[in-house]
Amino acid sequence: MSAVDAAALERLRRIGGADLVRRMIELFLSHAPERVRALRDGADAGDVDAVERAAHMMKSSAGNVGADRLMKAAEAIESAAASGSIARDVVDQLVHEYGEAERVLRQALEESDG
Amino acid sequence: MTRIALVEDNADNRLLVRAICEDLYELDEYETGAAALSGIEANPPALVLLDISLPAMDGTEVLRRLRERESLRALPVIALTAHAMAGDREKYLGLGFDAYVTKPIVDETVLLGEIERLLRERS
Repeated sequence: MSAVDAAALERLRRIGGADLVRRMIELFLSHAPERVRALRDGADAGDVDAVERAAHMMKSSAGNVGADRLMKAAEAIESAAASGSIARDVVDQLVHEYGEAERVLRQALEESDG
Repeated sequence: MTRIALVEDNADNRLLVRAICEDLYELDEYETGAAALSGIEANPPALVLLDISLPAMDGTEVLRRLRERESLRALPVIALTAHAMAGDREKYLGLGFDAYVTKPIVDETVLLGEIERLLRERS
């Protein structure tokens, strides 16, 4: 599984052209850091509800832009939080996956500029 | 053009659903359950796409309140949810949603197909 599934971006392009791809990536990149922070802070504070909410938002947004590994990590965190535990190791993994997805998505934005 | 309502707090999901639907339907967008209830009551659409995980008042509560209103009891409502766990479909259909579509929307024809099917059934 790559950091970002090219087929997902292609699907967005088919639905709404290059403009939709760009706007979806931009929206994702503008909200994601705040969600990553909320996840980390929630995990540090032992706040399972905050972790579950942030993971849920991240799961849905990551899926829209094809950031599948990030989505899987968010899903695992959400489901652990729903049963009352904080998957700290997966939170660390998610932070890493976000970095990877961000890099690929920024590259896709630059390519669409060119 | 048939008008449908979208109740969704995630801006990226709203943008995607709008892109999928805009050539076929007029879309009323609501970010919260409370805004949706008053907007839908004042100006009822032909169908509602309702996110489950909304802040403050969640989608199941919005549905319950819509169903309490005589005039909106038969309004078709599709649950849009990223809670894709085993047994979810049965759970949401059991709560009174007319259809259930999971997010992320990997195949937009599934969403459009459900909208079309429900609108056809009610026409």
